[in-house]
Amino acid sequence: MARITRMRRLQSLQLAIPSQCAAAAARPSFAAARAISTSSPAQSKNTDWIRGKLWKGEAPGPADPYTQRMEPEAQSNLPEEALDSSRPGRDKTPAAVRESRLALPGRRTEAAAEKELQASDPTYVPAADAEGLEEVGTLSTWWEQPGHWGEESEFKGFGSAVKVVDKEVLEVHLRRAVVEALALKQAGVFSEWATKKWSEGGELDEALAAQVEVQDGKATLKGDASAIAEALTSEVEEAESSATGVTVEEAREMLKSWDSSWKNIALDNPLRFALRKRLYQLTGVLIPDAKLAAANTIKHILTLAARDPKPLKLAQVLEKRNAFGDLANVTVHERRVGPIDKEVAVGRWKVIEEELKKRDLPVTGYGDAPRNKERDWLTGKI
Amino acid sequence: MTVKALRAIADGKNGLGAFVLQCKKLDFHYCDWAGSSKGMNGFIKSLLPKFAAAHPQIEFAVSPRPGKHPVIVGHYINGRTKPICVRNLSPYEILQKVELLRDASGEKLRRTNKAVLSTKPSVRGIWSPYHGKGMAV
Repeated sequence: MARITRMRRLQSLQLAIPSQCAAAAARPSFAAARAISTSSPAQSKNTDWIRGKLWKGEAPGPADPYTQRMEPEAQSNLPEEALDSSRPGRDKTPAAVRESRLALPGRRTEAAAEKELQASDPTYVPAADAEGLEEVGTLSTWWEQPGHWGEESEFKGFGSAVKVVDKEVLEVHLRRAVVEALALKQAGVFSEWATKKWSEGGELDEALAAQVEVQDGKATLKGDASAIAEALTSEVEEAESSATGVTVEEAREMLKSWDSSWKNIALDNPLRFALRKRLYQLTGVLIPDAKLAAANTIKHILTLAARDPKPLKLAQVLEKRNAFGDLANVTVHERRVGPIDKEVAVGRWKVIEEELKKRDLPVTGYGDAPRNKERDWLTGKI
Repeated sequence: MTVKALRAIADGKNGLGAFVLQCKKLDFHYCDWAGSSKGMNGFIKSLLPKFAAAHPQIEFAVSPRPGKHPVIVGHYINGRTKPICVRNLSPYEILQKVELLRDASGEKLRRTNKAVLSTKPSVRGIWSPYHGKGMAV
């Protein structure tokens, strides 16, 4: 009983669902699709007499109330892909494989048996050796074979593969991104191009030469904005851009020539996301979404994108300072001095290595010997 | 029984000839990351160059040991070593420990409750009742 009430609740729930998920609502509910009655029409004839007795005459309603429900068409809850594959005689390879541009290994086919062939073709003579047969590599070497995995199949990310670390260079790229965004705005195509990929090979110098004027947080571009916008929106697929090579010294000089007012440009959401995307494309530095929301000016974006350089290791500091420069009694190691280093220092390692190789023993590590089980016994792990 | 290599052991005879410092090598181990090595790193940067210049007869080896507390190990000419953990110590406290290692003899620490301690056997040898002419009582 409880089960049936739950069903009803579910049904009413589905009715209550607004039609926004039309696809789900279009499907008949499980309760409706299910034929609860297991009695056949022939059986219902046998029970007519008792219905007559119960109702004292003509019984209202249909003889079998359950089968009188709207009969659902042969419609299934399964997604379309599943339906496709369940149909007989269809190609069962997944759609992703069928539509892939990769050269995938072919399906396995089986040759007809010798007897069958002889029945159909009496001139058939089975080969005695493999001479003259086409050589087909194994599946394990499929991707190494020419034409199966080339440069075209390798992943090319949107972001720059080379990550810019220096803050000054990052600032130059950010300036370029700002100028480009403003140029697109002035050209009136910003909303259209905010979500598209901007051409990577735009002229860096051209973008940096443009003057940005800021008044009350709103910026305008002085200079040839249309040329910058055109360079960005051009569809010409360029080879690897070489314009990104800005050295730290160049960047420092460029930064000196700009006043810092451009960093106070107020950001709205489209500009914020456009700058983030462009910065990722140019420098490979991606600002996390959660932090981006807090950035209200260009300065904030710069703070989020720039990272302090990693602190130097002590050995590097000592080398840089030349702390023990002329002292013959001091040695500074950059890495941990391990047992092998100690043997190398006394000139014994090459002898050990030779002897180990002679005995076919692993030079480092334990080879394929199992772990020390005795230690586990002693420590109570097993 | 395992075969043991002969250990070259020099007896300390300081005072009879030229003075020989017993400490021959000092190992400095530090960690770049750990906070307990902060003082040690400062010591290596600031005080060790001067100390090493002042002691040309001692060999100094500076090497990282990531994820471990900083340790100074003294090696002595009698073949013994003396390690001291210097975690969370300041550079000047570490300097004191280094001076302690430099001045140590490398011998095991033992209580000195006799005025004279000699490693030499007696020139006359140990008295034996079975040797000599005997003594008339």
